Amino acid sequence: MSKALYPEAGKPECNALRGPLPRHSILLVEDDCDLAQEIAADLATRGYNATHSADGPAALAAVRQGSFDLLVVDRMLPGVDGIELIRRLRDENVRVPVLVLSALSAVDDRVRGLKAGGDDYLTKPFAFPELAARIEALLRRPLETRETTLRVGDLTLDLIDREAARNGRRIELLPREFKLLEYLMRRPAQTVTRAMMLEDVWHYRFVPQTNLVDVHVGKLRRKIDAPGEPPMIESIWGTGFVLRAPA
Amino acid sequence: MRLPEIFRTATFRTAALASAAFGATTLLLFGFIYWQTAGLETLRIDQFLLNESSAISSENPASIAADVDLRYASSRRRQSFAAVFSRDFRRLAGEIATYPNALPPDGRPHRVTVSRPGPDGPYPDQARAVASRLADGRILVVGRSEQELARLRTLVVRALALGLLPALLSALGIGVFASRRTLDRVAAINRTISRVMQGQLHERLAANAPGDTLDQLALAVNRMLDEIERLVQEMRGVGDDIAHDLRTPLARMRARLEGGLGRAETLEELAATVDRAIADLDQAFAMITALLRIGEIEGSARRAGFAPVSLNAIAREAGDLYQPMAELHGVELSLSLGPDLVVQGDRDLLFEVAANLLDNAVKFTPPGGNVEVSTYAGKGGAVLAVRDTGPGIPPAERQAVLKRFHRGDRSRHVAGHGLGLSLVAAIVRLHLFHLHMEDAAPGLLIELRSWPSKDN
Repeated sequence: MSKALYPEAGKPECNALRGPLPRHSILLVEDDCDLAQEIAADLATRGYNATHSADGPAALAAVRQGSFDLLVVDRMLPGVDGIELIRRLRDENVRVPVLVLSALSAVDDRVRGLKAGGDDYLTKPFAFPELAARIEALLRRPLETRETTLRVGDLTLDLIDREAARNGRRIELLPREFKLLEYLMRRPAQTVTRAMMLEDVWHYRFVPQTNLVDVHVGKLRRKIDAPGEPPMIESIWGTGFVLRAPA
Repeated sequence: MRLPEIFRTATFRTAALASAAFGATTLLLFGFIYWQTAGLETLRIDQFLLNESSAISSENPASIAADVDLRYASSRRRQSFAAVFSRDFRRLAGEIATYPNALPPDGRPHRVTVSRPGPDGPYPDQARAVASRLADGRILVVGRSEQELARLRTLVVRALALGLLPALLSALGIGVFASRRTLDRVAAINRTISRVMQGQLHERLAANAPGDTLDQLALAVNRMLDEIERLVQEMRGVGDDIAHDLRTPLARMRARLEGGLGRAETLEELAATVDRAIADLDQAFAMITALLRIGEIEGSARRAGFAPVSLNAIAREAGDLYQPMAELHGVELSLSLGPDLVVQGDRDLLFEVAANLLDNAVKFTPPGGNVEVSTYAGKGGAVLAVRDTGPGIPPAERQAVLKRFHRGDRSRHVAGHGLGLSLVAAIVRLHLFHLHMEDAAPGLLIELRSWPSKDN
């Protein structure tokens, strides 16, 4: 079976993939229609309303007409390149968060993508849960509270005294554990992936070969869940972790 | 107009320029010598003329005319001459027939042309002459030909011709000879280079060890060819390695999918099969990603973005990242930091080096062992070292572990794609640093040294 590598923009089978219960609408700019369909279908099952554009000009037109909560933009596009598209949108004062997808593994390319106005950068191939977690992170944005204490359920984190407590019980944390817990508590009930944690907490951009993050989370978990207390950090298989208040 | 190639070589141009400079200097020098000598000679003549003039003037006025005839005409001294003219410039005595117009009778030497009798009739002669009035109003003219000055000039010009022309010609000759030699060598280099371009990568340029500029250039090109040949050979090997190593996870995935398809009785079982297949695929992708990154780092211009990086900060952060992992493995991870040492580099990439070295050390050290991260000032600069008490690496394998896909015997049972150390090696090469490995008895000491290795 042979298929054109870059199908023309606006082909009917490429467009208008709808999911139920549109909470947020996402514009997916991706020239590989097969991949776009899979991504859109996955986003739909997660409750997003996904629209697809197959190239830069179509995407520009779509953004000017509709209102989107988030853009997922492929780095390499026929016609207007992904980076160029983002730059133009930013020039037009479009402030919608943008997630850049790229088949380039280039170290510098990530920087270029973010500099042009992208908010996050994900290298192909990626797991759908990883994409979903990053979309969620971009849509929700971390809690930038003015309060000096973060609270999730009965867990509190004092950002001034750098102390954690659960149910009145003080929890001794090492600086790295504090950083990790703060990161999780600013994203309550939100899936964070291992790669996100490595990037954001340790500024480590490359996924190591070992279950490094799991070990860190494991240690933290043992400290915040005393025997008998319901666990707060939930593992999402193959993806990452969620911190949430026990039901 | 196109000059023949030989006149366009740098050597010839240099020779021509040097010859021109030499010629100009010589001309100036000879000119100066002539000018000085001629001045002196003129002064001597003038002195002689004044002496002669005053000697004759002081004689008895009645006998002066006869004396002048006697002294000069009879002695036939062709160099000097004298004459006596009446108040109205008619000749009374001496060999000069007519009074030279340009000569004022002021008793001072002047340069004049006089008509003098020769064997073939009168001829004009350049001379210096003094005209002075005698007490009775007659005019005495005493002169001396400038023939000697002319002879001096001829001498100087001849010496110049005899000395300068051969020197210039030989300089140009040497230029031509040297240029031809250079041209021949350049032609030989061109022939070798075209053979290299046709794929004979083992060809090298002829060069003498200490040598001249061209030899040094040839040696540099040879070093470049060595590196290119090494890379090409490495690439040839890598293609096979990639294909081979990708087959492993792909073959496993295929078997799993086929088996799962046949055996799965519930949807859950089928889903589990697919999940495992995805994990296998991810491993293959991780391998490809790592390979692409190695290629990118090796071929990149990232050095431009280098900034000062604290090795202590890198060691501290990497140690922090791996501490829980070490605890889990029952390995004691300790930090020993020297004075804060700063290197020029890429923070993210150097952190990756430290993390990879630590990852290996923690993985390979058996429970109860130690891993120590340290920084110190080495012989050529800052060092970040990781010492473990694991099985170590036999000396023969130390270079091989830095190559792509090498998996030592000790690592058969440990997870990984075998590219961690090759990535480290690529990053280290990018920074012009080098890795040094030695036996820590027991275990391995691996040093990231922030200066180039002597070997390359």
